[in-house]
Amino acid sequence: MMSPPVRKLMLTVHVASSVGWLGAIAAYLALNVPALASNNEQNVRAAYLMMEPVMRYALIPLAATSVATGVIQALGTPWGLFRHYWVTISLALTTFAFAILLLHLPAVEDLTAAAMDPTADVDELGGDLFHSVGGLVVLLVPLVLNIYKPRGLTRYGWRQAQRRSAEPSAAG
Amino acid sequence: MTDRQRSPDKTTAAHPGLPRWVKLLALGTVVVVAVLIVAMLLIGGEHRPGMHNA
Repeated sequence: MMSPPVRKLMLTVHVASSVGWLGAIAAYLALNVPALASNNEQNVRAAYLMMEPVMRYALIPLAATSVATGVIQALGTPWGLFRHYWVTISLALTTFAFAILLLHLPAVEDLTAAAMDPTADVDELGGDLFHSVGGLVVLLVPLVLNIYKPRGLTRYGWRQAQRRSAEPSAAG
Repeated sequence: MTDRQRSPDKTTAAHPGLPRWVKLLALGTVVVVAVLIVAMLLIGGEHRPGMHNA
């Protein structure tokens, strides 16, 4: 188990990176507004050009930090990683979102490369609204779970708790 | 975002099974995934940026 100061530090980094991840999604989502709605071609190109750096230098590092510190927090506290449904589901959803993020990077690089080509018709690119909205929706679930911490032990967590509660009587 | 706001290890004699909120979340996930699969089939199964705005 982590000491209280380390635990507070990890919690601070975890909250900051998780909120930052959501904020970076909002920024990515905002880039889709001019990409899809602007009549100014330069604005449209600029929006597409920014998608790749936002993803590479904001979304991915923040997501990696959020997932890593979440795992450390869970393992270093009595909550554990697979004892409570809300922790396990949060881990599954954030890992899924992070994997999709990494797998989606080449497609966003293609979008940016196409927007850099002055002969390309940027109206044909069609934005990237689905993935940004999807990512936001997926990540709102762990956000709610982490705040409300709904009750419910997994079978593994339940067995562990049973063993722990049996330990004092066995020793005595 | 784990912390010590709540005692994590309250148990009963037998495992109570899946909590209701987990069942609802699973149901919602299945519905969303099914809708996405149908949507992808309708647009030809292509998966790339821009496919959703044609």
